[in-house]
Amino acid sequence: MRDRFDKICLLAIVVTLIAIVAFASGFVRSDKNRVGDERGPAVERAIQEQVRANFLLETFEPVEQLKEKREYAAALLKVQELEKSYPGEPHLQILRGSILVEQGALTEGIARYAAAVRVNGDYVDANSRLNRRTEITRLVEDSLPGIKSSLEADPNPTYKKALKTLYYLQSRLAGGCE
Amino acid sequence: MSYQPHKGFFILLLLLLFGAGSIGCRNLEQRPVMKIGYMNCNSEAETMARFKPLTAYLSEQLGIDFEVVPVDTQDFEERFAAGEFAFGHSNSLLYIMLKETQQAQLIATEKRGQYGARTAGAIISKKGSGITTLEDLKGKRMLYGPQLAPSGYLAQYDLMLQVGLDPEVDLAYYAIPHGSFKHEKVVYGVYFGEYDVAAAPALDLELMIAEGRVTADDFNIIAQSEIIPYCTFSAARSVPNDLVVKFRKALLSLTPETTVDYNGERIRVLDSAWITGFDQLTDGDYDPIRRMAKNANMPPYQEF
Repeated sequence: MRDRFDKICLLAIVVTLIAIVAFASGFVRSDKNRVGDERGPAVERAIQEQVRANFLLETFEPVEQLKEKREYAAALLKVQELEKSYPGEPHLQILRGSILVEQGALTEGIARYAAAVRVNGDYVDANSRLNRRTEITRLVEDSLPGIKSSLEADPNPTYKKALKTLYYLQSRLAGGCE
Repeated sequence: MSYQPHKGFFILLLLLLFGAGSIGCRNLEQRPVMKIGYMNCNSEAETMARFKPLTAYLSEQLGIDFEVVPVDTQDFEERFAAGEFAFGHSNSLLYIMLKETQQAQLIATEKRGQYGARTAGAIISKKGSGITTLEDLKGKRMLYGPQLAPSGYLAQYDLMLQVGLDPEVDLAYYAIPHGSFKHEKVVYGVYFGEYDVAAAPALDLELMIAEGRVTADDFNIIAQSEIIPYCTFSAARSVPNDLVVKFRKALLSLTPETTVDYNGERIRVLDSAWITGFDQLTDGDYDPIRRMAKNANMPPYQEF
């Protein structure tokens, strides 16, 4: 009886040990897998940026489409609607700015571009998918002479503010500090 | 025992006399009183509630006791010409009328909505109605805003004329809603299918979307006007230039944080007036409205 009891105990110990080893090795393997999957912070950051850019470009695509069709009023209303879901999103300011400039609301449009760039520098970063350097450069180059001459003819605060904002955009394009 | 008046009594008497004298002096130095006529959008009560704090701010800044005069749109030019108020806050078409007939001086333009100091008019139909172009308007039922509304009537009337459609002839029927909140009624008129198309100001559509009452996808924007200046402050030609400059400066320096003491409360001036700020536009910026008014045979260029 005692021999059988000893055998059962021994068997139980062996089974427990095997289970422990198997369990532990499972952890090690999963840890190894995790190590294998681990990405550096730079990659994580790039992925996040990619996901964010994709999200913005896809979500706000209807606005771009309306703008391309020159349906500016409809595009602005869509911007207004999206702003309810994404308040404070600088991409909406970029879109709003581009629509306003196309419609001739220059000073208001310039202000919107600057507001977006202040929050997200990707719009003047040549390496970003959100990059709008060409568009912003054209805005600055085309608007500066007109705003300057308007200011000379009529030194009013609206033009002064627009000029200051254009200089800010110019500085950001040049990579200058704010 | 004779009565000896206390020394303190004489001091009190002197103080009272001095106090009465200073009150008298203050009465003599009363501030000038001037009136600002505000165009009613929906009702007198709303006008008073919106613009009294702004008026209190202007009084504080300019050292003048300004009084609010609520004015009906149709009466505005006549009452301004009669000198009932020296300053006016009106829509941009009324400003043109005051400029052309009374030589009013432009002060500043109100900013509200996505266009800032400008706005636009749109012609809308319900999504799915099949009405998508100006040509589709022929024989349709249309709702307009009030007749002197630049972005709720004039802009759309002009848009139709530009493509050879005469609203008086080519529509089956057109109407202007009664009472207050006409622009919203115009939008709802199409939304609920009572009318086929409507003349909707871009700002009102924007506000209704922002408040979740309608969505951008509910409507087709059939046509949109060029952008035109929004509501405008002007002054009578008799107002001295330095006062116009001070008035303008006070408006342009308003920020969302500017407050004023009003009825025992500290109130944000711009918020209470439903305004986001002011811009200084030039009279030339109002030329698109002049062109529209001429094309639509509307005041101040109306010919019979």
